[in-house]
Amino acid sequence: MRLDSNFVFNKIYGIEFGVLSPRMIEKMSSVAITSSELYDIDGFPVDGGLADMRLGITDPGLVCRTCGNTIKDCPGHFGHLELARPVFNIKMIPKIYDLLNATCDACGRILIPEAVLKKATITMDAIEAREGDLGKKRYVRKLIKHAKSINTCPFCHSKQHKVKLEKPYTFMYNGQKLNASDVRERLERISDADLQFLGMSQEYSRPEWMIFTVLPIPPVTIRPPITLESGQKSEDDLTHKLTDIVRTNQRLAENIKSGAPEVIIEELWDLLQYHITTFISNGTAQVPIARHKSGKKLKTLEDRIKGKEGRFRGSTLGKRANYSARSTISPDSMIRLDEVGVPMQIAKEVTYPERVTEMNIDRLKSLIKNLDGYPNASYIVTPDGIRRKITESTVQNILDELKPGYIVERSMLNGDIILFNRQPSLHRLSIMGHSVRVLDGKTFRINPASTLPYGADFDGDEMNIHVLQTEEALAEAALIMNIKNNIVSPRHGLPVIGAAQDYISGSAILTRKETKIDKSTAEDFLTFVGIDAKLSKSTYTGREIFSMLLPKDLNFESESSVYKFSNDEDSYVVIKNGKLERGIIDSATIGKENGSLLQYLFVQYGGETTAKFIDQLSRLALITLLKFGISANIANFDLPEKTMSEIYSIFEEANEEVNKMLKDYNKDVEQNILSLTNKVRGKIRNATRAGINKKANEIDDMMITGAKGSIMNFFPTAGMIGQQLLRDTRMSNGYDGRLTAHFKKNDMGLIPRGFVVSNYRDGLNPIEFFLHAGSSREGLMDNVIRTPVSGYMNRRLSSALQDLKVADDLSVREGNKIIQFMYGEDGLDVSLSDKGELNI
Amino acid sequence: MDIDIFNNRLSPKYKILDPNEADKILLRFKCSRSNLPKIKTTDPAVIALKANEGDILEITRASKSAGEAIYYRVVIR
Ligand SMILES: [Mg+2]
Ligand SMILES: [Zn+2]
Ligand SMILES: [Zn+2]
Repeated sequence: MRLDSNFVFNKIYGIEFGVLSPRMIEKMSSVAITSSELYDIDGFPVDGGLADMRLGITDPGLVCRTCGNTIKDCPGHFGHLELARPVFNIKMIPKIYDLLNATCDACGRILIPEAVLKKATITMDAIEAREGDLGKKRYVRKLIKHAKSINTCPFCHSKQHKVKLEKPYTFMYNGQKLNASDVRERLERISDADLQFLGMSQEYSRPEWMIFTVLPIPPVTIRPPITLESGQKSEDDLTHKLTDIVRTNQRLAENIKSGAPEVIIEELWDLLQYHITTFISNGTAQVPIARHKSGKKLKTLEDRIKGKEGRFRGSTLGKRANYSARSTISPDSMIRLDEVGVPMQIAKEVTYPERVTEMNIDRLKSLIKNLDGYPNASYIVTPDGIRRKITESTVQNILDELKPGYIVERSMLNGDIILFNRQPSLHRLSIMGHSVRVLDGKTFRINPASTLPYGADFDGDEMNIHVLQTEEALAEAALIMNIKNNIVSPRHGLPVIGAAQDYISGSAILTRKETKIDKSTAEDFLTFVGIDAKLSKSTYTGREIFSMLLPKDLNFESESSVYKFSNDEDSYVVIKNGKLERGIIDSATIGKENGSLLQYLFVQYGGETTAKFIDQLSRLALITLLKFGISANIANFDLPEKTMSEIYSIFEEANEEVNKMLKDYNKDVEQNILSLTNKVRGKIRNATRAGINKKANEIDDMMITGAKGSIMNFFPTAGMIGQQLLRDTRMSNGYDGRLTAHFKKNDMGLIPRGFVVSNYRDGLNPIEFFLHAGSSREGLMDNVIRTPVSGYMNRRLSSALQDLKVADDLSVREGNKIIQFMYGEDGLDVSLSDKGELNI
Repeated sequence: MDIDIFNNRLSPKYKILDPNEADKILLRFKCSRSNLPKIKTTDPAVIALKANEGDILEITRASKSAGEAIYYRVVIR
């Protein structure tokens, strides 16, 4: 019986799940297990043992005695074990329990009258036609529940005594224990006609089959012994458990035969039940866990299927990828934004298969010669597809043999294109093509300008790289997926790669009108940035230095962040013929998710120019900041006396108004107070904004350049925090009629309902602190609850949309099925549009 | 119940394509009827138009991104 002659080509019509009958188990068995021994003294498998060669083959070179195949083709074959006494299948206990109580303990019929059953047949068919198997399952569950509640048999009119289940597998009836034999007898009495109402079938699942009389013995191919380094064989957990089962079964059979006392038989029977239970499932409540001598839990059949590491979640849906690596990430502003710093250890280990040509043969040969050094090569693949390891003994032959057409698996080199990924991969930009830069150290290095699309920070985040193995994939990663070509997001048409924080402060300082740089400093700057220019003047303005990064034909105008705040004409950005004539370069022009200049460069000049600009600008901003410095100061938060008293009188006025509103009480009073507190917050914010000391205030500089922080952070720090909210209302719940014991009952004034008068700098009083924490907690809770919900929504969407693609004619298709006749209805690539709009 | 369902600002413009036009569309998108989006014969618009199974409807909808967008649906049972 050869395997390949045995294939059946047919379309699967359906799948029927059922319980194996003892007859079926015997029929599919190729050997009856009779011995608990595995191997004889010479190390050969014992006939009728658990390693019998009719169960399949795990040794290369041996031939299966059932199918005649070797290890490669033998699928393994079941055996069977005749049990001395019947034993429960632990997974069937709940069903058995249901059946015992849903059927008559005298005649075995279902406890539902004939007339009702007739109607149930019709209803069930209708439900199955309408709702399918799930509906039928629900209906059966209802029928069983109903039958269980009936106390007199409608057929033989006998009074019913209910069976009780003592976990895990003892059934009690009238104060007496029902053993597996008794239960099996009762299940046998259930008539075929009643089975459909119990969710079972005569053909595929007779109830008594839920109790083993014959145990199927799985093939050795699913429990192969492993040979340890010492040459000793170590058996699989399943084999260990099966040995216990066979041994106990033998002892039970012998004791029954010799007429041993009932107590001993009972004890062995229980032991057999225990072993078979822990063979199937190791972790059933109230069953002691079967362990190795070392105390390690035995892996059972159930463990192989269930849970995260099981067959479905662990092997089918999630697999490990070859040619990939994972490490912690850390920032490095000195590498290009399209580079990724790869640790030497990884570069040596993960290989790229390079095809040998006339042009690269000498270089590849030198890699092959380099054996254990770096860069080196570890394998070659001949044109016939044979892989050969490069070792000291094979290197000479390989060098002689190597010619165009061979493939050399060489280590990663600087400039190789790889894929860089951070999970969760929520959008396209979570996987992008980067260029390798082999570095010392053990972390992946990433330019901080390109963290946003990945959502990465450096508090221990880890990322993955994938080394591409084919030229097609390489081309796609180098062009379409390359980070340089994804600077502008396809979502909103704004750059997702750009400057943030210090880089914005740096370039804003550089491009201030008053920034002057002497010649030697300018030379330092330009050297650091990597620009080779002849300097003729003795001093330069910052704007002149900045202009050296721009394309010579660039004409551009834009509001800057500073301009939006100050309306100062000098801060409005005007670039003419590659010269920054006026304007401050800040978050509105170069910032992440803002930068109009980056967006313009990307659309007009392409990714290469934009990436180069960001890299040079980052360096220029860094060295500017290094030279000029920026440091915040607690005095930056000082507000003038006048402003502070203004803020306090805003509160006083509101407080008085609230007291008045409470006196002329009406049903909308709470709503009115709430909207008053919102107005108060606005007033406090505006008063604070107006009062900020603009001179030599670095915090203010950071706010108006968009480097970090906003008035929303400033006013509660320097001014007044204001109303604390819980579920969009004023805080009110706690003690009876009041928030805490510190307030009068039913006082609905501002402070007793969570208005915080202090600010962060001066500090909160204990009650304010407590209420403020309460409202912060709401945000944390919301976040925790929302994250899995939106994660699941995203997963459902991704699964539904993952195969859609834009065809050459701009239609959106899934396979050849048309979803949309024109992508986005307008056929525009948002990343090449003007912030999502068409601008002609 | 004599309501003109097309006389409503939310209702798009429908047109039944004649066999010639239908073939042109199939050729233009290099696909067969089974690849097109579907609309049931029980759809109020199909009933009102008295369209038959296999007909292709040209639907002109208002579009946020393009102003007007054209969509084709094949009538199925
Ligand atoms: Mg993190
Ligand atoms: Zn075999
Ligand atoms: Zn009965």
